[in-house]
Amino acid sequence: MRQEITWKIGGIAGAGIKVTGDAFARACTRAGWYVFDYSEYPSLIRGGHNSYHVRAGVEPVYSTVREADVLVALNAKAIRNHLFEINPGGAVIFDSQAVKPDEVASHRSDISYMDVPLAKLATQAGGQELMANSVALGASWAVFKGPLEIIQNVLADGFKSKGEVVIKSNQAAAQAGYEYVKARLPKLKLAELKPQLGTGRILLPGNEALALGALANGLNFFAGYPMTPSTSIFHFMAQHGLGRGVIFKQTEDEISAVNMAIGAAYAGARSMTATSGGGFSLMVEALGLAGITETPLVIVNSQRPGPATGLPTWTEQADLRFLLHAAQGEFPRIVLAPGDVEECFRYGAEALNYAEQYQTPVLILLDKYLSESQMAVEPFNQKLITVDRGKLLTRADAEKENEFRRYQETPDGISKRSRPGLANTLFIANSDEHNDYGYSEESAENRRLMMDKRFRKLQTAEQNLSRPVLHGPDKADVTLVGWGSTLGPMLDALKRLTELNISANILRPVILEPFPSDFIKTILRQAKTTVLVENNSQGQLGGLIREKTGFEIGYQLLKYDGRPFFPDEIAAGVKSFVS
Amino acid sequence: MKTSIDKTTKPFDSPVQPTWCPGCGNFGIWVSLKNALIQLGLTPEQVVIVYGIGCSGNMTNTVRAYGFHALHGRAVPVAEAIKLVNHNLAVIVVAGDGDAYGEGLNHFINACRVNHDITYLVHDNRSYSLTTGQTSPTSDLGYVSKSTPAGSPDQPLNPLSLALAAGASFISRGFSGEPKHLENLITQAVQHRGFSLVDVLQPCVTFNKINTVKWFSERVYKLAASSEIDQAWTMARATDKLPIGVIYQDSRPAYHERIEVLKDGPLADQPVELRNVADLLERFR
Repeated sequence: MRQEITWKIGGIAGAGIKVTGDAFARACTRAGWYVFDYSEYPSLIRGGHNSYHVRAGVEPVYSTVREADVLVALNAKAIRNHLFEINPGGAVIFDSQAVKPDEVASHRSDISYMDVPLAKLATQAGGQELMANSVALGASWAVFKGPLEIIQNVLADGFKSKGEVVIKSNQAAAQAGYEYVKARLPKLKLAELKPQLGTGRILLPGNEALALGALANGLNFFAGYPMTPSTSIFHFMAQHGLGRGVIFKQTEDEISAVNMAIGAAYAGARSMTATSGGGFSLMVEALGLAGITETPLVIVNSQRPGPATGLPTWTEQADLRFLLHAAQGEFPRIVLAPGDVEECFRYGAEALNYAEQYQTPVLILLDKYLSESQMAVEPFNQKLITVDRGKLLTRADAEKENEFRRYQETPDGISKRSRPGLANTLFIANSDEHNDYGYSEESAENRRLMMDKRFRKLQTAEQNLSRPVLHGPDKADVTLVGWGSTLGPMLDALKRLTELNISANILRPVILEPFPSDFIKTILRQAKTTVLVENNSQGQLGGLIREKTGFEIGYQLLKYDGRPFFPDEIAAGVKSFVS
Repeated sequence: MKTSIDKTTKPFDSPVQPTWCPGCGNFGIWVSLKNALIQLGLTPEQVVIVYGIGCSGNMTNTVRAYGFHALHGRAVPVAEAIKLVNHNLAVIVVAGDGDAYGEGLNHFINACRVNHDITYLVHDNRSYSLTTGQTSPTSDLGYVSKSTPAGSPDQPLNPLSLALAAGASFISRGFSGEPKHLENLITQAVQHRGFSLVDVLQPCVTFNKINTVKWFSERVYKLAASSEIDQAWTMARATDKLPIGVIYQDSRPAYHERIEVLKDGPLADQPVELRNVADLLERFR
């Protein structure tokens, strides 16, 4: 039996699903277990159906799974939707006052139906009915035999802003639920995880990790417009940039946001904006502006299913081709796709450096799955990041300049960069094609020179940016090929494949532009069976690999229903290809 | 075509000459702008002009200062950000009526209400000229052009009353045929604390045969002073006679004055360093 536990809570929006789910995930993290959580919610504020899944183990867990050992069902719909996801030997916790007995009809004889009076226990403990969730938290924790103090700790921290009375009421509710279940615990088939306190891990989603990386690495200007699932980056910058020297502006639209980010960088700030596919569409023209004026620009696109409004609260990775090619004309860009929470921190920081080193747009691809799922990780090592502003002149540097040319020809294509206010270094950042001062210039010779200069920067970048990652053994029966958030499911699939006597590794580019053709070609040529794993319908990375290397990946696993891959799906798919 | 520049008496003269049609109102506005900058005692290093796309946007190259030739309709957000990042700079937007009141209308309205400390110098010739003569948002009702051969059916946009409605704190109108008056207007606008609109009436000698210098001269008159808001509405909405000067002005903090981090000086001059985010990491335990 796998040494992991899985838990899910389901109910209507507005019922505190997110808060309760996060509390359970945090309790597991503080118990010293590896954690990956995942939530589903529709695009509305009240009603509908929300669910929150937590997976915890004594070994690293990298993705979510479909099944749950324990389901907490706050309403009948939760039972209808998730009853058949419960592992045999597991349990469903429900309150028969809220969920009528016939809705809990015993469709399954291989699980336990635990009727826990959540609302009554909440009010008896001196709280309100809303605290039924804390009762459920305590009840769930008792099923997994976790130490009660951990839950109480999490509630104390979680409700700190609401004051002592609220903390105490919720703790009393949790204790009531815990004791109720402990006294009536049925025989279940669950892994028993030993708590290991003091591991010091943190639990956070990709968006917050990325925002932290940027903040740590000297970001000082953020302009943006809210759009799911990028909004938590925007909120983080607004709330935590305050008092840390970050100018933040919510703009009237995305076009303003991206043009502000460019204007800010032109004036000497280290800037960023974040959005999703629809907002990125509006920002497209400005990509070319940053490209031709050679102004640093960082845009985060947290993808969701499109096209148009699509599925706002679900996940997909179908904007790869879009980001690689968007905007009229040709200019260099850097496109990054972090694969997990740690890479979000690292590339949130690095992207600012790349943008200033190469003086060109840097685009970061996330998706709802990576942006919003939380993973337990070691606190990020801040010592690994450094501020690099490329060839930006300081005030003192500018004093020494003579006959400064902003777009001077150089061997690496990168010119020295000045900013308004500095002496001796006047220039024009010109959306027209221009000469080395920045004056508009239409001659054929100048145009060729400038295009070549700008693309030389891409060649320079290619030499300096990191290689794709090969996870797992160098030699394997199967090579999975993917990018972004499919990393997690692929990593968990490796273990399952090993159990099926199939050895596998994962080839995963992080930098998609400039594309690491040579490395990819080498690995794929040596691979035996290759399987593309992507959350889109057109196999975009597969097409890109074929275009750049001539290599056609053998098999494809494509999922585009708005849900992330489950490791079992990948393992089953691979098994069907090789047998 | 480079000529040696006299940097002492003509600090804002660039070696590049404009490409406008002879008789274009842009020449007058250009000279007024440069003279205003000299009057204000500014050096080219302290000035950023953000240009839109259009004939007026082709002023890029012809003023010796920091410049940014932005996308059509999108000069305003670029300018706003430049000012936020370095509020010691004088930031001026140069755009036409199509750029400002067509493509860029959303940004115009928001600049008015948010009171960013930039000066919007709109070259209003009631025509889309660089694209060879289409109707513009400020073209008269019935204006015949390549895009409205039967005459424009649209009520013209009134930038002054729109600015007033959007809460702008400095609203003015100039005329390219009154260069000294315009020079003083620009000076006041740049000195104004917050967003300042200078809508400059001008002819397009090539495409607009209606609103000529003569047509404007018969209608413009100089205001002695700006008005309180109720009177300003009337002034702004006048179309038979066109008052020029400051229509409306009030005093409130510019947007950047409320930003805490800027109390220590411009953001651009503050060091960019690693930040210790250990306290934020703690929140995620």
